[in-house]
Amino acid sequence: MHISEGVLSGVVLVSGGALSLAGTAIGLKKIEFEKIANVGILSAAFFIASLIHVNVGPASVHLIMNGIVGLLLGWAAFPAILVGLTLQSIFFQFGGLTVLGVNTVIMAAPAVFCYIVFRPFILRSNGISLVSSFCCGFFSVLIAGLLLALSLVTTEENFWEISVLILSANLPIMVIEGIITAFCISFLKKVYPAILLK
Amino acid sequence: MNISVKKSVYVLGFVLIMVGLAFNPSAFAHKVTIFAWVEGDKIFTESKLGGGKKARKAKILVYDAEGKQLLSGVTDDNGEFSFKIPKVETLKVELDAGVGHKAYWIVPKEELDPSLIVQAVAKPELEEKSEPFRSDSGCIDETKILNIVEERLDKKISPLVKKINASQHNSNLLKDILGGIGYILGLVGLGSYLTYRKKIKELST
Repeated sequence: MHISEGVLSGVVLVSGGALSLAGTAIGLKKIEFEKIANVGILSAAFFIASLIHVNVGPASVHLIMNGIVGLLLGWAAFPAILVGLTLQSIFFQFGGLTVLGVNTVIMAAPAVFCYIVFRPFILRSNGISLVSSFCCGFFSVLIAGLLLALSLVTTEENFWEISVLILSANLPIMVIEGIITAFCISFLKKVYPAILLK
Repeated sequence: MNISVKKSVYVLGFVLIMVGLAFNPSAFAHKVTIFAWVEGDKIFTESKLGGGKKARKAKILVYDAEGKQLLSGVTDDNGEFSFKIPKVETLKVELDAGVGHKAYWIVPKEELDPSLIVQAVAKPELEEKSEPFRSDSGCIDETKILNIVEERLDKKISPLVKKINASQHNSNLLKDILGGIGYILGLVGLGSYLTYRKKIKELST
């Protein structure tokens, strides 16, 4: 889901850059001293996650993990994902540096959105917690796909066609990440519930 | 074990599982890749998606040194597309695999042999003569030998070149992962230090 260099127009790149800067500024302000290590760990998990590929028919998609990053970090997902993407761009040549802002918004904005929507529910009963963390993982990828299609609107022909293409290819990723997020949250609730309390 | 050691162990385990999953042979970089090489008067290309899959029915565009588009095509079921060299200068061969994934390969001018390209045009004229391999004196023509050797070398070298290209994708993956994680740890340390200093300042005033 990383957009490569040289695909998007200047306007889209600049607006993506501005939005990601704003998000990162908010995120950095919200990081407390004790939570810095958590941000680093989740940034590392995000960094590695894109290496895990799932072959879907003719296409090949990869894990994103923005759901769990958002759920555990909130607004700090922006700096975590920005750092992760920068390192991916430098070390693995995923995406690119001019398109860093757009890629950050595509992956971090759904993470923050799903955090706002689903976070209140994960401390409730087991059933509700499981469903809401699955939804967080699932919808983070789904909204990221829609944002990807939106950014390509200026270069590709049709938003709906591209959306269907992206979402159908990434459907296994959505399900897998929903499951991973659900498992992680239920595991953390048992082992280290303090991480889920503010 | 108290709670903080347990926490560290599990979190570390999580990260290590991710690394283990990622470090499998088919986890190619999630960039699409194109590889182009010259054989005689043609350029052959091979395109792949992240995960090592061949890029079928993907667009290929060829640009000259000024960025003008010279020709376009579509990859076949093997992810391959070949074309006759349109111009003897540095060419940029671009792959557009859709959904914002692009890659390119530069074919430098030095790899293109103008004499071979001219030969391709001149061939029909030569074949009209009755004995193309022999000049009037009855000896084998030197240029013909050079062409045969060139052709055979291209055929032998191209599978080697393909192998090198394939192996480059997987090189240093572990180093890259460790490098990236190292930078993240560094940022965590730096962030902690700066925030700590701020806290100390606030507490002492």
